[in-house]
Amino acid sequence: MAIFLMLVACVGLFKAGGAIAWKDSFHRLFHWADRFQEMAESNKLLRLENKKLQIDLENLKFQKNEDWAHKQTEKNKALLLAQAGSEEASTPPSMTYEHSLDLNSNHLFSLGIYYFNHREDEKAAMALTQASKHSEDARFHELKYQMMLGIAWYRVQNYVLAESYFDEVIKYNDSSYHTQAMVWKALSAKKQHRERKSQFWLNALLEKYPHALETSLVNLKSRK
Amino acid sequence: MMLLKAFLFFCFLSQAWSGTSCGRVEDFGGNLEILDGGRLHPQEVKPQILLPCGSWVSLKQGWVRIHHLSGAKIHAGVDTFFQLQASEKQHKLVLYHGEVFVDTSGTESLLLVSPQAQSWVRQAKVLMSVRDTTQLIALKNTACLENRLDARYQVQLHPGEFSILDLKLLRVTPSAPRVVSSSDLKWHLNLLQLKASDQQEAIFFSEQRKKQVTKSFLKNKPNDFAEEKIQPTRTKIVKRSIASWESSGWTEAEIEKSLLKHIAGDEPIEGVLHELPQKKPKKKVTLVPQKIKNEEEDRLLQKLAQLPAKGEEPR
Repeated sequence: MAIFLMLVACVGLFKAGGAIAWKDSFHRLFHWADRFQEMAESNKLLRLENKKLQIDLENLKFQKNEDWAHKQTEKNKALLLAQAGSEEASTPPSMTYEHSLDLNSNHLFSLGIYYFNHREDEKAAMALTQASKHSEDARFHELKYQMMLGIAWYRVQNYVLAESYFDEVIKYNDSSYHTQAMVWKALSAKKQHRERKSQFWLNALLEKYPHALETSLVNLKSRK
Repeated sequence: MMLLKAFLFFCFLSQAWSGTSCGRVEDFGGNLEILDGGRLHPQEVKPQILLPCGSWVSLKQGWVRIHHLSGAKIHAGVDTFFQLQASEKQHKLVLYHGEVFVDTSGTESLLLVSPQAQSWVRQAKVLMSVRDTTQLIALKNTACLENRLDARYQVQLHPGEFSILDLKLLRVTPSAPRVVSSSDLKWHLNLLQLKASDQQEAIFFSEQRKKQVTKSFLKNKPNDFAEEKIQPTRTKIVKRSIASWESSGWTEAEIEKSLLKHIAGDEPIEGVLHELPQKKPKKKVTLVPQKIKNEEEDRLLQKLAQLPAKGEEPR
């Protein structure tokens, strides 16, 4: 660009002719050269400034995101503790797992049991819940499956939801799962640091089923 | 002369690496910009340029491959902005946004940091993507993704799995590991414009992970779910006591496991159930035919002889 402008200036000089014109033209040429140099420097500075601004902007965004994440973590912790009984709990809306629309309740249930046994806890909890929700099949509402659902939610640390399923089992006094549900309730209370409640369920278990296998799990003397 | 040249070259390299240099641009394509930590001047970008520690790398279009001071290989893709940091204790890559592929096989560990999450990459290959959320895909060996603001909440990923930390959802832990889909992985790999060998390896590991799931699913039919019911065993209580966690002598985890044995029979039980009181096997009662005395035997035979034979009329 500079060379081109110099050529243009030279052509202009030739056209103008004369010593004064030459002198004037050279003067103008150097003037323009200086201007170009200034512009180039200015361009470099502007680019640098632009970079600085970009970095400042990115840093600000990062800082803002970091602050937001910090606040959100604290907020979520408090909400989860209140809603699910644990800071690390997973709740149904927070789970991103989506099953295929083609699956019916039976398929979902099979998947749920597969995930349950393979410790893919979030998927198990979601699949089993979906299966029992969308089906009126009596099989899915048996106490055994209610226990499974409770355990699945217990594993993802959603103790409130887990206890709701254990409560369903406890309603039926004579069931073989009654004793187990009581121990799970005690375990769940213990995880929530509710020692008194935990002890209550243990005592209730010992009172009601002194000979049960589950009692021997929590009572060393009954094992001797 | 040769020795002198080699010595000078070694001095140059050691100065470059031990000074403030955190990495070296191996190759790049597209619109790459680098600014040093002091923000004094934008560096002229060319292959093999040294990156000072604390320098920012901005990539609007194209890709860049960087050899980090720790030995790790970093590959960044479109619309990515990150900073390289290093100290005596740790090497760090702060990813502001965009996505990077990091390979730390046979090198020191590298800490990847995003606004919400972080991940220590040790002897592994991972892909981290930061948009509104932070996503980590493990491509070789295991990797951990954790909430940066509380490192207690972390998730371990196996090759071919991914996890997302999305704080907009009501959670503080990254999501449970899931198998990455081929289409999703290919989309990320295309954005990064990775080497063909790395792309193939990544796809291989994701396919392997998928096969594992399918195999184990087919192997364990869901109907195998344990049908056993608890048969309460009668145990003698020597002395009545108060049930408590302390008196049980087992940890909560052990109790959970032993309980699960009765719910889901497939659960592995390690050294818990053998301590439980076993039901004593009942003695088998075998019926032995009593011997009939000789006198009685004779009497019976006489009676039989008196009976009429078949076809004969009775006397």
